[in-house]
Amino acid sequence: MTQAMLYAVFGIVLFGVGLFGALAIAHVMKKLLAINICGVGVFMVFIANASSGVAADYVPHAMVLTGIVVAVAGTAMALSLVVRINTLEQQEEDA
Amino acid sequence: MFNNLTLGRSAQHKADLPVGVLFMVALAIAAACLFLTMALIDFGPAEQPLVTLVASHLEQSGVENPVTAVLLNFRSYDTLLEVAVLLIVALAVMPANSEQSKVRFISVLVPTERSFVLEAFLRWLLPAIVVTSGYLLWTGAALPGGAFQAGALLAGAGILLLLAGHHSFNFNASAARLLLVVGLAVFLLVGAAVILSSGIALAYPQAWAGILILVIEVAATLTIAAILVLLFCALQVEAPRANYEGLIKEERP
Repeated sequence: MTQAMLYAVFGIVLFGVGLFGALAIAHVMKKLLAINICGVGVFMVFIANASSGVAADYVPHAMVLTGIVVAVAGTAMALSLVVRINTLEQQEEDA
Repeated sequence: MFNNLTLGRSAQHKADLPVGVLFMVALAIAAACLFLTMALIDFGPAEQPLVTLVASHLEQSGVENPVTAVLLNFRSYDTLLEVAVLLIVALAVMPANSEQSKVRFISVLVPTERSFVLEAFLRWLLPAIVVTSGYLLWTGAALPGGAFQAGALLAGAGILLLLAGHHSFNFNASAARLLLVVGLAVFLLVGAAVILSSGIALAYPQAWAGILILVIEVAATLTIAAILVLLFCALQVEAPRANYEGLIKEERP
């Protein structure tokens, strides 16, 4: 088992851990964190696979770089939804 | 940032899934992961025709760093759409308020509590961050670096400024709105303008590729930094309080 393969396998493990969290945890904030862990797992598999040849493949590198920024944007979007849900629930409880 | 947020009240009422179901879910995911690992091992080391393809066309790209070449030349559609995604998210979370459009982008606050150590530290740190960000942007043409790294660093400077409590940002100001769109606007303009010479959108003429990429990257850096700071501002549930100040104060007679 090469080093790259090890990284890829751990990427899959991270993906599994994140997926379990996203499905099993009811707490929205933790669910969001779990989805992020899931995404990191995917990036890791992608990057590890890119380095399994002689030279590292640049295209997956560029794509993961793009993916990280999109993941940040998605997380921010989800966070704003979480905040909104929380505000509405508080209003409901106060009423 | 989320100290004051009692997140997931519904989660407290709504219990997690029953243990039996959780066990089944865990089992299914474990099986899927095992299958993926087997597939990965079976797949073996992948052939990478793209490495030689990128290397052989690197001279045409206008930059020496292959990752930057892929990001901003060979697959520039990806990056264009990424900047667009950032703008869409910025619009979604932005506290839109047309009444505030006359308020300046950066306004100086008079903080109730001052931390002189933090102020002195920031006075040293912020210029260094801006210079480092510019370096990262410039070096992206040849070495790891580029618009995203530079933008993220610049956003860090903005957030530090915000947390220090002396300044507040108003993203409804026209200057701020300009910053939010300049990346996408310049990218689209350059992408459309090169149709005149090459006939294909985003296909830069070889002689101009380097400078065009730099122009796009400068604009993208500003936009990425502005949007990241906006995301931080917009998601702040309440203004940050300098708790350490309170601690220091209590010790005073």
